[in-house]
Amino acid sequence: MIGCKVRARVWVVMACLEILPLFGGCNVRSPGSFSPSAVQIHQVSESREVSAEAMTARLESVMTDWFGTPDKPRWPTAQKLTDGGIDQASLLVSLVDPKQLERAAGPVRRLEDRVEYGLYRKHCAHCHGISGDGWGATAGNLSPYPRDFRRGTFKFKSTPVGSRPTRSDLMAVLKRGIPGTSMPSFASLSESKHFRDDYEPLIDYVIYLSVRGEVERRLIGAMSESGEEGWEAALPSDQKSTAPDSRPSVAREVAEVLRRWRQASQEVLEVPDNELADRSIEDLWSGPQRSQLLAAIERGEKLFGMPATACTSCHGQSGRGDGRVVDYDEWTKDWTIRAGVDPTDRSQWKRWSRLGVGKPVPDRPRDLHAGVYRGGASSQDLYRRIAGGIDGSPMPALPLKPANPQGWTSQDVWDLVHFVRWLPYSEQFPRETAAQSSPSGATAALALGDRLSIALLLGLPTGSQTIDDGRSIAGIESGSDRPALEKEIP
Amino acid sequence: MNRSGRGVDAKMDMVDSGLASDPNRDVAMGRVRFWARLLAFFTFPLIWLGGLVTTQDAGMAVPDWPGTFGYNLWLYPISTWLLGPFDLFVEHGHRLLATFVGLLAICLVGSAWRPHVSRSMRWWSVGVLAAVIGQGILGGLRVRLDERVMAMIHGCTGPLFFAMAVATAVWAGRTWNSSKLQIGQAVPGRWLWMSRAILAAVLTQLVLGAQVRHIVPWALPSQFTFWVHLHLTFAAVVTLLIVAAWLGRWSKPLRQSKAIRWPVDGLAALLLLQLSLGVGTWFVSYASPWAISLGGLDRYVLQAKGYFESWVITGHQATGSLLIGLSTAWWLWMGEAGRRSGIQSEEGVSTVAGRQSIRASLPGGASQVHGTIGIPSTVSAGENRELG
Repeated sequence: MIGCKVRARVWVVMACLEILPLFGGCNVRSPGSFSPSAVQIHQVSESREVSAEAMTARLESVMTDWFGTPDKPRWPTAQKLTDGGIDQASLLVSLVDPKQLERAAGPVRRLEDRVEYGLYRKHCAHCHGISGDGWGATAGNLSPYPRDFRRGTFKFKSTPVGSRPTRSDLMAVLKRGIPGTSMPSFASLSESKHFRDDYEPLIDYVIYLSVRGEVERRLIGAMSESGEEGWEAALPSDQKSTAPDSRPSVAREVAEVLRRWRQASQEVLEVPDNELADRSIEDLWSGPQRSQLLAAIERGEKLFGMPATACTSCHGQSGRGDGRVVDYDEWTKDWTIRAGVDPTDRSQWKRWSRLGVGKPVPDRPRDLHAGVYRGGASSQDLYRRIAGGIDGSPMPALPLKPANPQGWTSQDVWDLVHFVRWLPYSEQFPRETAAQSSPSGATAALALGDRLSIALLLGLPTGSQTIDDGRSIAGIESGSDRPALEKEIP
Repeated sequence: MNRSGRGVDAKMDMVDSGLASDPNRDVAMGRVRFWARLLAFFTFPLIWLGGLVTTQDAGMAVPDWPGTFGYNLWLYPISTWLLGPFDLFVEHGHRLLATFVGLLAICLVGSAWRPHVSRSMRWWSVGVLAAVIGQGILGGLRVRLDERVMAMIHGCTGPLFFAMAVATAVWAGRTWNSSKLQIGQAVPGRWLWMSRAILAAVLTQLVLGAQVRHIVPWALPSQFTFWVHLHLTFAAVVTLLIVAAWLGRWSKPLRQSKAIRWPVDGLAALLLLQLSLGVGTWFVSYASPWAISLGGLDRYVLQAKGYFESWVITGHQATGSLLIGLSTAWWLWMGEAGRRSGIQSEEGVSTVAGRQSIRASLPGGASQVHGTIGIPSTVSAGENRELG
């Protein structure tokens, strides 16, 4: 009968389709273990001619001993530090709560106690990866790539370049999200009494992954300096030695990483008050403080155009992000330029991409006319971005007085902030002053720039090219080898 | 199959599918139709709720199965369910609705295993019941084993069960059991091919979409990229097929029969909706890769597990199921129209003659067969009432 035959065919088709999904379950990585920094290990392995496999195995053993696994994370204990010759138990106090780590770790589940666990995998791991390496399943399709926590570098924070963020900084990013990127806002969690407490475990777990990853990086770095023998010999010394020596020590590296996290709360950049800061540009423009705003914008524009501030080298004269410098973020430079790999040459970087890194993508300067600020749109946020820089990105910190006697004043920074705040409104609220019609307030400000020659600040050669490229400030602030790395658009 | 073989099958099929006039049979098929429609109607929200489970990552919100936190599923305190965490609300709600759909499947079997219902329909209804039980067990295994792969399989078999429910409703439906599928001329073979191809493509899309949706965090980015690209490729294939079908709606035989034309319109409308939801799903999940260059989009901040986002993402998955359901119905209707009216091959040879030859051999001849194949004019007004 045809009816029977048709129905039989339907059964066969359905049965085939039910089998198909099984083929999707095959994966190379495992949720039960952290992925090592494969690129770094292989680069050291090649330069030192040691076995990458041996390094990986040794590293995994040590890291599991200190930090556990994704399902059962372990936070370094005072006893472990003491055993390693580090008598600083205070480093561990109130940085991470091991109980909260348990909530964030492992697979997503709600146990019999009705408490939800596995929060990191629920909310973060698809992009940031199980290891926090910023190379989760979806990462390759995202722009920009998700953050790799293992460097200990975070972009949007209240502390200067090179410092760790505070818990409040991480909380702010979680709640606010990052506009124009794949980082969502988790503000909705606070709307439910059942999820309100999920932030703290997530922050604890991010700090845990960052500390773990940074220790791993430092150990691999030590390996590259001392070679396999020295490293191998050094590692067991944690278990028996009480006196620090010159060899790399896991406990010492852990302590150093923890110390930097502990310091963060004392390194918060203070933002001085400014009477224009808390009012919107629209309000200021239509209110009695318009003249003050105009003056600040004019001063800000001059500062913006100065070679010494180096703003225009990336953001361009117009502030549209069309400057000449093409640069990469620090995460990309780690495995490309600093390892002798040309990020613009596919044949060079392609071989590393299978080890857990994406195609090198230049870090594009922000179009300031768009009025979109990823690190927060308040005046105080902008002040911190300018005064403190954006860690890991080519955006340098502006040297400030009094820490740097020849640096800029906080009023200079505020003027820049007001100029930047005004740029998105430049067509809606065009200035009526003579300075605005100048194609470049920047050009007029060259003389002003002389008083704060970047060369004097940095003790670098005073060649104008060096200043024009804006490389000096960035180089000294991030300690990077920026001048050698940058390329210019023809 | 040769023409004579097909003709004999067609004869049996007509008897099998209820074309022969029999009041008892009409009543029996009416009951089957009622439960089949109810089953399909409630399976769709079940799929939607299942999609929400995935969107909210609520698959393990209840750690035990078949109970809920030690309670019998139906006795779990309603206040704790409604006022508890949203993931618990969604997961437990999904289970409750699933058991209700299971009950409907039992009712379907009860209605099918009565006198005057064809044997194939009886066993098909048992298959439907087995499928819903199997689907429930798959869901239970996903919880008991805590395996994302099981969640993916469960997510794929859900829409397949929906397709089965739709097929049941189609077979028990009035269109199937009347002369509406008898369109007065042979159906070009390309239309049969088209209906099969669309169904195959949307089913494949279902599996590919499930691979994207259920990707595990520890999968390699290259794996995710692979599934995304394949999903996009098949989206293009589905689009081309449905657009081609829709452009042909003014040609014979679709122009002459509303019964096989409206599903094409429906597919085209669903496709538009689905493409929009697909783009939206990517955007609310991962933002636009071109946000910088597309002014305005770079202001958008994704909301994790947000209300609007959940609607878009789950809507994309649910609309995919609707496409599968409608494709299934169209495929069955086109096939049946081809069987009753003959199939026009590329060379222009029709099988209508073979069809007509069986007419005389049917019990009672044309007078007992509604809309006898290829000869609608022989059917009297009184006989033209719908049987099933």
